[in-house]
Amino acid sequence: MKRLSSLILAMGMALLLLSLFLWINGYPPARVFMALITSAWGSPTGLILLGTKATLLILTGLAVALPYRAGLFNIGGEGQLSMGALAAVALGVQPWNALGPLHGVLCVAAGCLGGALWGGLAAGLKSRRGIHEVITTIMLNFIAFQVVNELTLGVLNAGPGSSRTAMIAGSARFPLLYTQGAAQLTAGILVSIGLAAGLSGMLYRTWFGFHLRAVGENPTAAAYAGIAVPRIHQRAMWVGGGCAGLAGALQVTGIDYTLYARFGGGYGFDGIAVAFLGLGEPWATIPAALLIATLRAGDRALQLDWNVPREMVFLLEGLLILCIALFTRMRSHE
Amino acid sequence: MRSSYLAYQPRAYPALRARGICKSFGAVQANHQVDLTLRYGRIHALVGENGAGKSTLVSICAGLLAPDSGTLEIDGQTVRLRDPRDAIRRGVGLVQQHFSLIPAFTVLENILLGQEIHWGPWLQRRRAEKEVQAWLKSYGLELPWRTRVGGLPVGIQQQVEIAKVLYRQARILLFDEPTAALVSSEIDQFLETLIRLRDQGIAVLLITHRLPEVERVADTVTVLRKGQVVYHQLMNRTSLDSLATALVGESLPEEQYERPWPGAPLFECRGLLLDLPARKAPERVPIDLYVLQREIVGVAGVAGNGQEEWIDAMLGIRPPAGGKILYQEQDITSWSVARRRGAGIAYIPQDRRGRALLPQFSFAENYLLNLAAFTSGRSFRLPRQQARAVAADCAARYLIQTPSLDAPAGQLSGGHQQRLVVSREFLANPGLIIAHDPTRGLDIRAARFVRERLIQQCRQGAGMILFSSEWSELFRLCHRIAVLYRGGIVETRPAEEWTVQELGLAMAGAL
Amino acid sequence: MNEFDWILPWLSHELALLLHAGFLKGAPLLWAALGGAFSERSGIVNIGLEGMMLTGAFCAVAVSGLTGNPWWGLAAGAAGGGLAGGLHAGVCLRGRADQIVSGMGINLIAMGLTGFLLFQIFEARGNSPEVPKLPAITAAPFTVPGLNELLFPLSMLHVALAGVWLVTLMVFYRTRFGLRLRACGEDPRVAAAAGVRVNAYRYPAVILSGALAGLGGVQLSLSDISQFSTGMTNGRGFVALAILICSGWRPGRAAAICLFFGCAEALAERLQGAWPALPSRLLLAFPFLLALLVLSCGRQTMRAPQALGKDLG
Repeated sequence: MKRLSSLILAMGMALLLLSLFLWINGYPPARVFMALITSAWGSPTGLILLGTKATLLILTGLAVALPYRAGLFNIGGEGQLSMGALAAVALGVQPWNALGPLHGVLCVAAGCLGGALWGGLAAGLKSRRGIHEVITTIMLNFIAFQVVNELTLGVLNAGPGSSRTAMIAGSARFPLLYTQGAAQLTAGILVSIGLAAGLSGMLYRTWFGFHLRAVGENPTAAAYAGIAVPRIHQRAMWVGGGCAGLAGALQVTGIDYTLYARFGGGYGFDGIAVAFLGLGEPWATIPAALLIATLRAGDRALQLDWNVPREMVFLLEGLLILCIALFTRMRSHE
Repeated sequence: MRSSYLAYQPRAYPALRARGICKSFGAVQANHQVDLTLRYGRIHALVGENGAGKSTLVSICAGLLAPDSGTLEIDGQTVRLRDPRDAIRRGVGLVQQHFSLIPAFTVLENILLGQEIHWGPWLQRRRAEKEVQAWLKSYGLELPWRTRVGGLPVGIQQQVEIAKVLYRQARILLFDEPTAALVSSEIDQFLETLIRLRDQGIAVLLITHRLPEVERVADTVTVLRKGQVVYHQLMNRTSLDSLATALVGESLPEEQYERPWPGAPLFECRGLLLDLPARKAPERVPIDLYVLQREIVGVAGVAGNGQEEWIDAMLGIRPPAGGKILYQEQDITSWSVARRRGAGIAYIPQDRRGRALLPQFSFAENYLLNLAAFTSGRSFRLPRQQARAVAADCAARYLIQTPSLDAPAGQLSGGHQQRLVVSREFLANPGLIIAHDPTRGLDIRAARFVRERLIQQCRQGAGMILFSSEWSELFRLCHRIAVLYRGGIVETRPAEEWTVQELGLAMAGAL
Repeated sequence: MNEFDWILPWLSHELALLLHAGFLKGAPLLWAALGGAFSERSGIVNIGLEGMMLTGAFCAVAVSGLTGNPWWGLAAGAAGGGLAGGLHAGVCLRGRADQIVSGMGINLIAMGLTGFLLFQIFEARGNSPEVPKLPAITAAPFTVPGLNELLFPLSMLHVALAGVWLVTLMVFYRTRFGLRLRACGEDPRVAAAAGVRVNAYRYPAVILSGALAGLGGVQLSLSDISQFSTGMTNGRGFVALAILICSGWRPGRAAAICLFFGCAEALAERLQGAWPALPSRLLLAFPFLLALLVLSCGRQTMRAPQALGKDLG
């Protein structure tokens, strides 16, 4: 309970600071926040958008939260997501309609694998060369960004002048959960929620989860008990990277059906805020993701009605992370 | 330039006088009514077993701790030292076992830090070198001023440490176990430095448990036992034997333990070479040690002689530099930690909070760290219910006081944390127990409890290697005692064939 | 013999151009690396260099646009970076928060703040309008053949960089302040025991690191070009951090590595220009690949200031 009260204090502080900033710049904070909330939660289309964003944010939040429990700070969610999306779209544009739904499954699996490998790369550099994972994951983010750009505008491009890949085949598309007019909610949200619950269960009810938590809590004691610490680090980064890669795969197969160049989207960085808001608990990424998704889903309304730039969300996230770091015991590792 | 302080030595008063010093840490009384007098131009030795209260007393004299009661006088003036900087200002300099040097800096930089010789913002290296060199020459300290301290041998590092306090015009030097980490040639050099310091009029306090050194350089000696002064004499009026007796005392140990009868061979280190840096172990001496079933082998030795490396090698954390380890007639030298633990090797570390506990995890969950005791079969489910049952059972049998099974283990008191660790390690009836100072920091009742359980486990068939710095514990529990010195075993004898003096000499490498 | 007469002058000409381009490209990196050196040598990890650079870049453009004077912009860039550094110092030293998390938080805040204020001040999204920029130096009073193409065009900021670099070297290794600063980063307990007030050195060190990184941002937005774009630092702050690690936290070596990075980038661009078939976007990833490569080869983490990032007692 003490942790929860510190968290609420931190959130309140961050909101207060943001409100102050908005007010100084001539925006009425209360009405801006209301506009955000009503835009995201007030209409079926808004809710669909909310759910769509939450689908990805839960996963990128897990990408940070899982390694965190093992003692690692994975800020490579952006890159891992990109590589996952790339893998998924590379398979998705292939004309494999004969495979039917298996095509989609392959794409999603490829996405997970792509993200996992990209995360595992950082872990490998840490265990073999001793480079801190913060530096390697950041570098890999930027490298992934350009790789995606290169392939999206090059080999996989839809056509001259296009800034995205070709559309993926119909058989590769992820099933939909709900549609309302033009807006559609992918069934991927069930995958995200299920994975969050599943990882939570894994963390507390399996041996692997115990090993992971023990390494995060006290790697020395874990080593003396017989747990292979570098191997746990590696696997934690695979899981984290895989979650981010899954997010990329769902973006491609369930939402956009293509991959845009300059695909950053910031979901990776949002994931840090989601993980911190959830205090590192996998199941807590669900409510945390809904919170951040409200900000992301509502920002269109912000721009149109209030002319507030969408960068406000990054500002709030930064303030949240700082306040949480100040008021709770959240560090860059357990 | 500073003038020699010989000019203003107040001879009327002793350099430092401590009267009636009392200091307690919780239930443990480290110092009780201790008196100590240091005079200029004399070397005073302070001798005692581990835990006798020597370090506490010295910390009080150096301003690191405040006494609960008693007075401290420096040059006849009653003082209350607030911190070490205060002490240094009054002329008291402390040289500890763990140096406060910055390895990346040069000798000169280390000496000058905080009191640099400068012109405005600029350091004046050449002028500093000349001045410091001249100042320290009278003490016979010639140091490689421009070399990084990190690369220097320990003996020279210690001289840098001494130079630091002398540069700040300390007239009273306190040395806490200064020769513990030195090679014998360095020890000679150090003792010569002490004599030179004394001849320059400095008051020297030498804490050591190496009686031969006391015999060589000390003018007066004080013996502490269990926090109290039990003996105080001029060196030319006493002998090593009287000192040794005073150290140990004539009291018989309070409890006797019935040692089990040893059985078949269980464990052996054959030709084991420890992975120690060259300056800690100049000659690589291989370790040969065997342990029988139901046998308790004690390993005595001053900390830093390779205990950690040996334990790490036996557990599989760090491979040894050479040699073999045999357990239950199998060569386990290349086995992983998990495999060794699974085969029945238990470990009770000295640093339980750092090495054996997950402080934020619940009491019950900590038992799961004994992986071998819970993993039967290929199940990937965490046996939480079983862990709770086991934890409750152990809490009852070992009388562990915890608010609940879900309370974080870090909140237990030291004694109960140790009971947790011991009860956990004994869950799967281990074959070999490696215990390192298992009763450290425990009160008498808890210590006795732990020792009883250790013996009981051995009676049930386990063998034990007991690393301890407490002589009485070694004598009470062990069948044989080996002495570890510089990464090699000096000698192994049955416990009855050791005397305290010989043990002390062996630990100092002088046997 | 005569046919090859053109090789040597051609080579030296190309080399001079390359070194010049390398210097221009490496300059922002060096500003940030020097800033990082001050902070990390005092014991505080600073991964917020990227955000501090961005802040400096924006503040410089904003103030230059508002006042019409690029010199005020320069001052504002340094001040903005310094403020960000001050925030990091306060959060880490006073608030005892995790240093890496604080750095990331500052990066995010900088991203958000600069984008937000870009709209507030200039009513633009993405790119600011052009503002007065720092004057360039195109020629020197003296003319040395061959040296001209090596050095010019330059901006005053580049000259300042050379000076700041020299001053940094002197401060680190020849002043009392530098000795005590380094002691704080190696072992703050020993430093405190020697009478050094550790926080009195760490606060200015971290604020200074922000100001220097901010000047690196000014170098980006106000000296070569004259506008601000969102996210224009594009990872340079992180590359500077990697360079700092590769150099063993030594400002002297860091300058050489920054020049190396700059020349490598410039060379890659030349090659791409000569052979358009090369994937141009992978080129943009080149500095990050290079950083990973250089980090993998060295064991520089061994030479880190011993107390870097350690929990503050």
